[in-house]
Amino acid sequence: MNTPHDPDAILAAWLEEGPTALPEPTRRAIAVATRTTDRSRRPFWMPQRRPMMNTYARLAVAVVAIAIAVGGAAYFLTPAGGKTGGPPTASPSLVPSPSALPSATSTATAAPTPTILAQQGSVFPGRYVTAFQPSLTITIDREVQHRCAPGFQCQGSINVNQAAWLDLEFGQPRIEVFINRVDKVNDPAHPGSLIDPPADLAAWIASRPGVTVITPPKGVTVGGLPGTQVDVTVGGKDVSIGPIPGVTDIGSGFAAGSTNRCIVVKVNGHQVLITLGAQDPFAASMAELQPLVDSIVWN
Amino acid sequence: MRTRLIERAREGDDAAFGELVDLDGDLCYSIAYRILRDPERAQDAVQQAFLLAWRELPRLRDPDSFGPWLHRLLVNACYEELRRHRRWSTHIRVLPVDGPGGPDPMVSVDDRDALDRAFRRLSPEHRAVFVLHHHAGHPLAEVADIVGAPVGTVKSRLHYAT
Repeated sequence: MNTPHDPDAILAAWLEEGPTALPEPTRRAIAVATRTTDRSRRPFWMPQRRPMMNTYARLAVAVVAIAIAVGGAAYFLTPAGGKTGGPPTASPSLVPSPSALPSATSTATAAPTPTILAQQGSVFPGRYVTAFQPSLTITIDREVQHRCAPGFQCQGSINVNQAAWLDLEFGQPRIEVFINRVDKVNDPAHPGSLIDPPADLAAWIASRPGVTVITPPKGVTVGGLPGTQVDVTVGGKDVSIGPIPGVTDIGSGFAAGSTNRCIVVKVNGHQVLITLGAQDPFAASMAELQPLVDSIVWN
Repeated sequence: MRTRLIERAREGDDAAFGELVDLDGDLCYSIAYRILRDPERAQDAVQQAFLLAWRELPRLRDPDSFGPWLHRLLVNACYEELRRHRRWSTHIRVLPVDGPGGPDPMVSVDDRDALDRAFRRLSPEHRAVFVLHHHAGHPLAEVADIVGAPVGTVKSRLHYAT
C-alpha cells in the first residue's frame, strides 16, 4: 500500500477528519432558546444541549403520565375525592413538544441512600457519594434547573470526580463547583517549588498577586466544620494556587478575568478548597450554588 | 435569499433565524470542533455563538457581513471554552467518529497522533487562524477581521501553526 508523504495533503486530510453536522439536539436547543429569549433583556438563558428523550425516557414519561392520569381520575371519580371539582388539569410540561421531557422543577428529592457519583458525565438530582477524600457526600437538587428551558429535563455535568478533585457544573452559561484538596501550594518566593499550605489558606489566596478581594473573608460552616469564605476577582492573568494531588498535568487556580467564591475548610487535617464560579451575575449564581455547599457532609 | 433571511431575523423573525441556523450550523460546528477537538464543547460553543447572534443581530448593520460576524462570535465562544476548559483539564476528549467524517486512511496513525499532539500545543489564537483559513476557507484578510488581528499577525500565526 502506498502511503502519502506530502505533508500538506496529510495535514489537509487530518483537518477534514471529524464531525461536520451540527447534532439535532443542539439545533433544537438553539431554536427553543431563540423563541424564548427576549432580545432586550440581559442576561439571556440557554438550555442545555441534550433535550433528547431516549426510548427509556419516553417510556418512563408515558408511564408517569398514565399513572398521573389514572391516579387523578380515580381521585376525582371517587365519592370522597375531588370535592373542589373538576378533572385534573394536565401539567403544562406534558403538552406535546418535539423533544421535551416534563420539567423536573422542584420535583427532585434526595434519595434516602446516597448513590455513587460517576467519574464523568451527566448528573441528575439526588444524593451522591463522591470519590473525593476526605470522604464527601453531596446532594444535587435544583442546581440542575439553572438556565433550564421550560419543558426540558436538564442535568448537571460531572467534569471530574477524583480523590482530590471534584468539579461539577450546571446550565449554560454555567455555574460551577470546583473542590480540590490542597496538600501543597506554589512557593511564591521560589517559582517552581512547592511548600505546605499556609494555616490561613484563604488569606494566602486573597493575597496572591492579581487577586482582588471583593468580599472580605468571613467564617462559614461547611458540613459542620468551620471554614473561611472570601470572594475574589482575578485580573488579566491566571492565578495558580498549586498542584492537585494525584494530577500531574494541571494544577488548581483561577482563570484570568473570573470572579470566584473561595471557601477553605480543614477536614481531617487536610485543607480543602471549594471554589464556586459562574459566568452569570455573581451574587445570584452563588445563591443558586449555596444549597449544594450546604448539603456537603464529610463522612 | 440569505440576505432577506438575515434581515427578517434581525427584525425578530425566529423562524428566519432558525433557517440561518440550518444553513450555517454545520459549518459553525465543524469549525468549533476543529478548534476545540471536543464534540460536546464544540456544541456548547455553537450554542453560545448562535444565542449571542440572535441577541445582538439587531445591531448588525450590514447583512452581508453576517457570516464573518457569526464566525467572530463563534471563535470567541471557542476561546471561552478553551480558557475555561484549560483550568480543569488538559485532556481533550476526542471521540471516535464513523462515517464520512471518520478517520481518513490517508493519515497514518502516527501522523494523526503527531498532528493531534502538535495541535493541542497551539494557543487558541493559532488554532482559530489555522482552522478558519485551512478548513473554513476564509481568505487571510477575512480571518484577520474575524479574529480581530492585523493580517500580518494572522500570517505569522498561520506560519507558526503550520
